[in-house]
Amino acid sequence: METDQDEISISSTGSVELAAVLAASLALAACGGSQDGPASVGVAAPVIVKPKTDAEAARFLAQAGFGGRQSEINALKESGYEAWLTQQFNAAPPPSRWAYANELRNKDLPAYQNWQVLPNILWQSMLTGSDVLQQRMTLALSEIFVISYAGVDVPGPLKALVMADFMDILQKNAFGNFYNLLSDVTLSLAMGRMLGTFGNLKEDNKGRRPDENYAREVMQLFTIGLYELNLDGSIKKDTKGQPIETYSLDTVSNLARVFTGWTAPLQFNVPNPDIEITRKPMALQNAYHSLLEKSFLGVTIPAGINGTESLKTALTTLFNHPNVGPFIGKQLIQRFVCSNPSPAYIARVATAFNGGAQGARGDMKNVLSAILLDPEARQAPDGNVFAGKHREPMIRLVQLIRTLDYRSPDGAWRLGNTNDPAWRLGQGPLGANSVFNFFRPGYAPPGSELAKQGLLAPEMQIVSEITTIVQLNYWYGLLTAPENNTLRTYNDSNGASQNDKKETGLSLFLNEEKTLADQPALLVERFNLLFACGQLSEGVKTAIVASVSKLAMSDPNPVKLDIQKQNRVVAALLMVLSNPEYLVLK
Amino acid sequence: MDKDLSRREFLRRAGMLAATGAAAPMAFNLSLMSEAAAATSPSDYKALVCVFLSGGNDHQNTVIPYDLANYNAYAAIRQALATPRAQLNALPKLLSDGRQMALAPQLSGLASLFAAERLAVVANIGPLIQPTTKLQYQTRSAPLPPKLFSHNDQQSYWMSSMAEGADSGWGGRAGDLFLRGNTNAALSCVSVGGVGLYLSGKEARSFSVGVNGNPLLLGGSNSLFGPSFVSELKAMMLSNKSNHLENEYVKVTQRGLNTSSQLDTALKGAPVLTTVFPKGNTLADSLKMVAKLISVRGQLGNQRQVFMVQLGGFDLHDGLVAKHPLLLTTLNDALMAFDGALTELGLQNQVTTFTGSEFGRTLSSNGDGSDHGWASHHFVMGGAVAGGQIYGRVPLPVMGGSDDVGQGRYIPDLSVEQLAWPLAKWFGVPDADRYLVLPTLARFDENALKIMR
Repeated sequence: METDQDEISISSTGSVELAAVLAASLALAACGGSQDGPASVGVAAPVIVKPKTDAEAARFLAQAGFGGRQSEINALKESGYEAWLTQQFNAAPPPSRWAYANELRNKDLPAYQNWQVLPNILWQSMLTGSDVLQQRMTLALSEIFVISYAGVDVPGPLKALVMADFMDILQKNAFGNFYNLLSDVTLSLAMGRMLGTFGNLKEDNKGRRPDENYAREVMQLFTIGLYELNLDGSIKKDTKGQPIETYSLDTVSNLARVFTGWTAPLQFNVPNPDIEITRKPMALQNAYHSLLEKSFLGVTIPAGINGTESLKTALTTLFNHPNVGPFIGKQLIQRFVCSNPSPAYIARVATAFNGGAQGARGDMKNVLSAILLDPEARQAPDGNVFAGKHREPMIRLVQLIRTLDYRSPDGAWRLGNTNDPAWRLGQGPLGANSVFNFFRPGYAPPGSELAKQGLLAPEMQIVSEITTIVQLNYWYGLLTAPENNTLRTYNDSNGASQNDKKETGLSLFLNEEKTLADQPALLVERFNLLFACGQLSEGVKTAIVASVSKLAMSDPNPVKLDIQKQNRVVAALLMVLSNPEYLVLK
Repeated sequence: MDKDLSRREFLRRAGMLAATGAAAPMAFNLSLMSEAAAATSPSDYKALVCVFLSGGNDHQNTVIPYDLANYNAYAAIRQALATPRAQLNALPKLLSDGRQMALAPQLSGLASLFAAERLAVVANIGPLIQPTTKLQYQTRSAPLPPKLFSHNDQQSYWMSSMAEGADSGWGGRAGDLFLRGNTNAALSCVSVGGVGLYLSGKEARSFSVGVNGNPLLLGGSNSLFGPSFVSELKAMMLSNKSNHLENEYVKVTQRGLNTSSQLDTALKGAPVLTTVFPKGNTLADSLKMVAKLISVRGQLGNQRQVFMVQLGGFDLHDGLVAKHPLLLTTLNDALMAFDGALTELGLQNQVTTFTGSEFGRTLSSNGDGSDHGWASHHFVMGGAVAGGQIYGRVPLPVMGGSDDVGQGRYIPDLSVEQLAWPLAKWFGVPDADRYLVLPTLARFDENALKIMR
């Protein structure tokens, strides 16, 4: 359905009907399976309404959220997938990250100057709410509409506000319409600074011309990609068998004119800047907007049309381009479910994006339902050696904190900046180095069997000979001395570095787990379910049980015995968290 | 003829290597490569170091016209982006048509190396599938590198001659030929903050080392759980899997864990370099680790190594005048310190360093920055370089000329392969194996750049 509205309102869609339609009418192909051929109609699959086992429930929660505790697994088994989605779609939005950043700024200015404040604000939101789907979608969108610390060129004290607001913008649109998402992102201060729309000037008569950065990347990365696509994500070919480029240099130069004249009265170097500006969209300054003709993607905006009209036409054109469904749909499948969805799966998700009888074009609730309820997502990929996706490090961290009984005495969840691969995770919310994200959706490890098969493993782009070791060491630190890795550091009035880890560092309580220390098989089964959704092989489980059983647990001193129990729990956790059978969510 | 022989030879070797299969998980069962190694088992040490300027370096403000007429033409087009002439480091040697060029004000160290004939400039070079004219570009009558002007794809093309999704790079393919000469084959192709693709060959794999070296698993020993637990944990992390996504993770872990203690021991025993590397300079941090690794080459048993480091932040659509000079200062200071350290080690003739970048940038201005271009200018540094020269043709600073495809984006005269070949040849790649490393080299004048002594 075409749109020329500023804002699209969406009537809620019965996702039960959607799932039934999808399941009844479309073919099955396991995730990571067949690569060839267009989507085809095949044998109808039964609608999978409820998880039959704890493991099935845990797998869904790992795909749609950050895993889950036993209580959440039980609740999902009871309610079924539909009700869970409905409840998540209707969840209240989390507290504004921008407001929290501003509150911190007002009450704790020294901490605010410390760079750790922005990641903590983002971690806190993901760690504390029950709105996990909203959080995961926000995070997924932040890996498509990417901003970076270095790229959002705003002075330190204001940067956290501008970037926190960007995350709020993504979250506001996580269950909304793609058009509104695109529009809000385009006019956001953060993206304006990131890709140069902020302050972009029209041409002059000495040869100056508009900045092309946003015009190029909004097409390449945020909407249509480089080649024309079929509904199932495959590349369209011309009569000579060559891919058809979606745009040319000329398209970019013309579209760049649309993104001129947008700015905001951001005050960079004054003692008390107007904070409200950091959460307002950019506004048009007509004098700087190009009034030349703008011709792109089969549309021509005649000379003399103002900036607001031009922008609406441009964004509507991009939004309605047939590539958006498969281009964005495939990336979202990769973020939630698997690295190598079948063409049929992509086609089903793109169909949901395209709307029609089931709802508006670009309704992200329909897209998410299509991704998570698809038979290819719900059926176990038994025996498929290319199934699944690597779990992202930052999602593993959130899962660890949420699954175990971690507590933050001051509520600030000071996990800090985890972006350094040689020290922590090589990843963290909004921590990519550039608009190309931590990894590319088209990445295949060079020389790998996956690459030979034409298959992808995007998250492998941030796996290296260092990270595999560093991450295990990091988990060890968080399990044995979390307060040392999560404290607040600050300079006192004499400029000396101080910390108050007892008040601000995280603490971990393993009481429940320790009751299983004398039954290693049960302990391992518990972590197998909660972390690996039951996907550890018998061999791995047996090996972990054997290793853990060897650790002494017989000290007559109760304090020392408690430490021994804790050692068994931590040992089992380390072996699960570093195991490739956990690291790949099948 | 050579090409066909090489292709057959390559297929034969690849077939033999494939036959080792999963039974040789480290994939370095190199006795089977004996024939290739006969030509490529050196007794000396050489290293190639790629310094990648990520984001697309503004080459127009790196190597700048200096003679008055051409400087004025440059300044008129670049407007606010133009660097004041008085600050430039004029290069002594004139171009063949009498023009004079200069390096940016921040590159005074590199200018002195140029004067000492230990640094060369390669002009107007970039990704090409074949020599290409503007008419061919406009009519699409010559094949063009796919996805021109796109960061990730042109980075990929620079490193591999393929857009994103490529499965090997020319640094790694050069490394392939020397795996047997290196006792520690896993450290043949080393990235210190670089990109794996460039360093991945058919067999060689990129190995990442941090700027402070790599940590040991649980610190190497663990008092909480005892030694048997740590070895059991390692065994679990190293065990092969049938799921290919899992197994890729295992392979990386194997390389890291199987090398970590040897690497750690070697680096702890590395000679202390007296050369001072600048602080707060991430590129210098990376190159310092490269120098340290080179200093322990004997201990690690490496005779041919390919390195890659990276400096980001070059995508300056905005704030070019403020930010680009800072990046060039970082580049200059890091390269000078690295050159100093190599000289201290007595290896200045055995290590050749060169810059790469996905593309150059537009000559025209967008107000406070420049946009994605195509051809760029690059540096090649080292005692083995026939320095003090600008190789290739420097385009005149005019808009809409015969090589401008729009807004001052220049078609390269030279392909990346034409630079890669003299570097690879110096490194020791035999003539007969050149197409294994650079499959498209034969489409170009292979010996256009005589940049090595």
